[in-house]
Amino acid sequence: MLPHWLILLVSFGYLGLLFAVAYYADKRADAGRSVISNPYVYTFSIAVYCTGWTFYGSVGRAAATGVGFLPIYVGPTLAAVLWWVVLRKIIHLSKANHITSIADFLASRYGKSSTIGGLVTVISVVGIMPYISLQLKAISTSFDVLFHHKVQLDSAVNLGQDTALYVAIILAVFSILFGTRHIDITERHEGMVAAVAFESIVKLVAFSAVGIFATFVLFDGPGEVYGLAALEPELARLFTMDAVPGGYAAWFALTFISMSAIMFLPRQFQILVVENVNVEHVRTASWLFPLYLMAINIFVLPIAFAGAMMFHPGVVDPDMYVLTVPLESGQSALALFAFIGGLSAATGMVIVESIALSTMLCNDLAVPMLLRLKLLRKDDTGETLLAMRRAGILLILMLGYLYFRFIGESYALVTIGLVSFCAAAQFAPAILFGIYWKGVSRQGALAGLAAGFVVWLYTLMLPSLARSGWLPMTFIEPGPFGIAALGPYHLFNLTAFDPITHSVFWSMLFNVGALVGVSLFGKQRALDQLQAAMFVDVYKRASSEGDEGLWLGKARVKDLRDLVARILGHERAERAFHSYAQQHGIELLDETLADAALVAHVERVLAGTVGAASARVMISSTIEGEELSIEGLMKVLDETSQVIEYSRRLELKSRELEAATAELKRTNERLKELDRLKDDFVSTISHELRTPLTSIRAFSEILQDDVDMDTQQRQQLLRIVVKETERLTRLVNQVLDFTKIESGSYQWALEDMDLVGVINEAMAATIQLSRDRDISITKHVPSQPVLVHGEKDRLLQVLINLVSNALKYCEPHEGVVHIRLSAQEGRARLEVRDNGPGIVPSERERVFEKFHQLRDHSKGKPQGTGLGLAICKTIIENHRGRIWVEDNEGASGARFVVELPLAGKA
Amino acid sequence: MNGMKDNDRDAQQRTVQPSRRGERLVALLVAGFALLNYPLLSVFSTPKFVLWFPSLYFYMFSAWAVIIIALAVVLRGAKSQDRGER
Repeated sequence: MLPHWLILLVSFGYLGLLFAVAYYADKRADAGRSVISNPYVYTFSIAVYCTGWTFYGSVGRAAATGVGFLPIYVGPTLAAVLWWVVLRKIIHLSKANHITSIADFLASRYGKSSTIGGLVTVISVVGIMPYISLQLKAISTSFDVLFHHKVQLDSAVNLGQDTALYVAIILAVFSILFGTRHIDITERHEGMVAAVAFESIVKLVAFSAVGIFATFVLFDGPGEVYGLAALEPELARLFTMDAVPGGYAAWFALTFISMSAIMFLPRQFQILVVENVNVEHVRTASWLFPLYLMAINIFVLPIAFAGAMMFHPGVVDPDMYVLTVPLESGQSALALFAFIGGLSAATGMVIVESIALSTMLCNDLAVPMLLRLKLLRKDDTGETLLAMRRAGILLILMLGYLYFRFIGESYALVTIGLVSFCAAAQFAPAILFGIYWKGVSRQGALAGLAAGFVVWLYTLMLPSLARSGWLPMTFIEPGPFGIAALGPYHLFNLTAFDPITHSVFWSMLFNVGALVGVSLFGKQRALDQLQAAMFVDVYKRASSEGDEGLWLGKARVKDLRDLVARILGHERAERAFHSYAQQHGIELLDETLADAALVAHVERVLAGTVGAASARVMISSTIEGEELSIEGLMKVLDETSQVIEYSRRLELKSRELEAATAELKRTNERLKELDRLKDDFVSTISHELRTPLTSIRAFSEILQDDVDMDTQQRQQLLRIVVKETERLTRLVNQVLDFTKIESGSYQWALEDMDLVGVINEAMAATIQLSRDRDISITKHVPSQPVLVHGEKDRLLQVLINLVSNALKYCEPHEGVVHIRLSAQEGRARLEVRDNGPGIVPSERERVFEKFHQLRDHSKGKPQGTGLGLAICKTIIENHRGRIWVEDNEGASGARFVVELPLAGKA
Repeated sequence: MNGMKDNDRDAQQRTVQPSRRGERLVALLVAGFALLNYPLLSVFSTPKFVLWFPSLYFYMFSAWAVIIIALAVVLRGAKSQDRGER
């Protein structure tokens, strides 16, 4: 009989020891010398999986079903086989996205959706309620057994209720002290991890001590235990699978949900993923943890049989064999040690679970709602967060207590726990599909989670209410409203399974079905696709700065600084910004606009504290502008889109190339034509030069030879020679002029002069030609002088050229050439009209081109060099005038027009 | 100098491709499921005894131990930089 004070002293003493371990570990962590940064601590901390259920409940279940307790541990072993692949990816993703809980993970994956975060939180809280009540029950019952030395089952129930309440309150206080002393950016709790690892060792040792005692002290080893048991038929039946309720189907179902529980129970996710210090540790944990499981389970069956043989069936609660066996054998000290072991197991679970759940309640349910309702505006929001966390812990433990009080009493421990496992299993599809298949959409995940949760509620939670008297039993048998097909234990008349297996089957079916179905037939937003790609392809990305290009809005650095300071306090905010500035070698001035990289960085920093979904909402409200830029989206979407982008650019390039080639071709054509024109020119010049030269030479020779020629004949010949010489001179002058004017080296001698005089002189110069062809030249000039600023000889040259052309192209005898001069609006207008064939509109521009000869085949080879009009144009342009060809107003013939600015008006 | 080269070559030969390791793990998982589920379990689910233990208990714990040992062996030399698998 243990003195009461001893029990209480040892209990509180142990809790104090746990707290001291945690405190020490936290101090070491702050000093930078973490104690938990090794794979063995990591492995032992994962053993928080073994709770009061393992310590007490397994024995109870073994006593009833033989190996029926084992799938809960086989599952995690099999899951551990794939940890190196799956868990590593999840850890990598969580570190990259500063994920702080399982709700955060799912919210982040599915487009940073706070809806998903909220739903996961609700499922977790409702689902874990039974599990917490299980621990309360284990502690209070074991305490009662020890305290009152009440080995037998009787109405110790009433006392149990009070004990459980005290236990709940004490655990709440401890959890608050463990986990909510300050807000950490990474949401890591080194102290908590160290304490949990420590208590895992304690419970293993305690349980093994009882096991060794039962096997080798009470009996002569396992041989005797089993040998004796084989003699009792009720015990012998526990040797085979027949004792397992639900048979192989249940075996498989339990294995399956344990596989998901080891990773996706909130506390497991917290320890495995969030608290993970180094991914390398997963390698050791993968085989060491299953080894731990085996070690702690190896004595379950012997203890169960020992207890069953020691006590009459039905008199002693099998769940309490671990205590009652040593107690009844007079080993009080061992019983006390066992109690501490059980206390250890249950406390560890409650602390980690309540911290994990309160983090989710705060980050993924409360903060988003408060942000939406704009109630989160105070200066130091960090304090508010802490207060919310503490309230959350209290709430969770109270819920656990209520569940225990009103529902959990009538159940064996393991049965209660399995209900929670089923709830945690609902997360598995959303997570596992989510990290390997980009096609899972937000709506799909929501649908799957909701469907699974509802089915779970209906097939496991509600019936437990009925079993405890809160709903009529007819709800279960035959079913609601008497419809058997809706019965929560045999939906749609599926009677082949026990309740747990039945629930697992239907909830998984609806969960996965909805997830896949809605994902395949729905559409995803840009942000959803982005997150999906980022998660599934996390190994293909070089850096974690993936979503830099996402923020297109405008926020000042000061705004962001204030935001971070509100959540983390001024000191941490300063540190975060300072380290960022140093890293990037830039200065962060308050009034400048934050660039996209900085915004993304701030979002990540905030996510570490309030979760990804809330961080996004906070940033969005600080920034004005769009969330997503097309460039950012294109950067991250899958390779198909990138290929499309590249091919589009290629197309553009090739079109540009085509255009350039066509341009080159045209230029080439022009050059060829100019070349031809040049050849024409050269040949024409040669011909034009040669012809007069030939004449001159010929006639000169004649003159030289024929001494007897008479004077009249001689004069005639000489006249021709002179004329030809003039022609030659004219030609050479023309070419020389052209060259000079074209090269721009001609010295213009400009002065004010009267155009009327020029006209008269031109007419005089061309009078011979006009008489030769019998064409009359008329003029119409103003009576006043028309003064322009120009060089007289050149303008005369132009006019003579125009008149000569007109004379040449008119019909002899019928031709009329008319010169008209007028002055208006500061300009002088000089026209030369003829009634020849005229110039077709398409040629009117081209006549002024160099070497252009009017192609009038009826006149034979072109006359002249083709340079005349080109020279005219250059001269007129150098006089700041214009020259062009016009229509003759209906009549045939060409009309050349020259416009010059009047003197004094230039 | 030469000794070091030999070591490197040995290490290279001993190192397993990451994707290979992933495949081995999946195979181990399937084997585990097969060993610890219906068909094989029923074979041992008899009231007979093996070495002081009921045959089912003996088989179950042995298979469990085998899986753990196999897992430790497969994961030998695995590094967290391995990115071979998805």
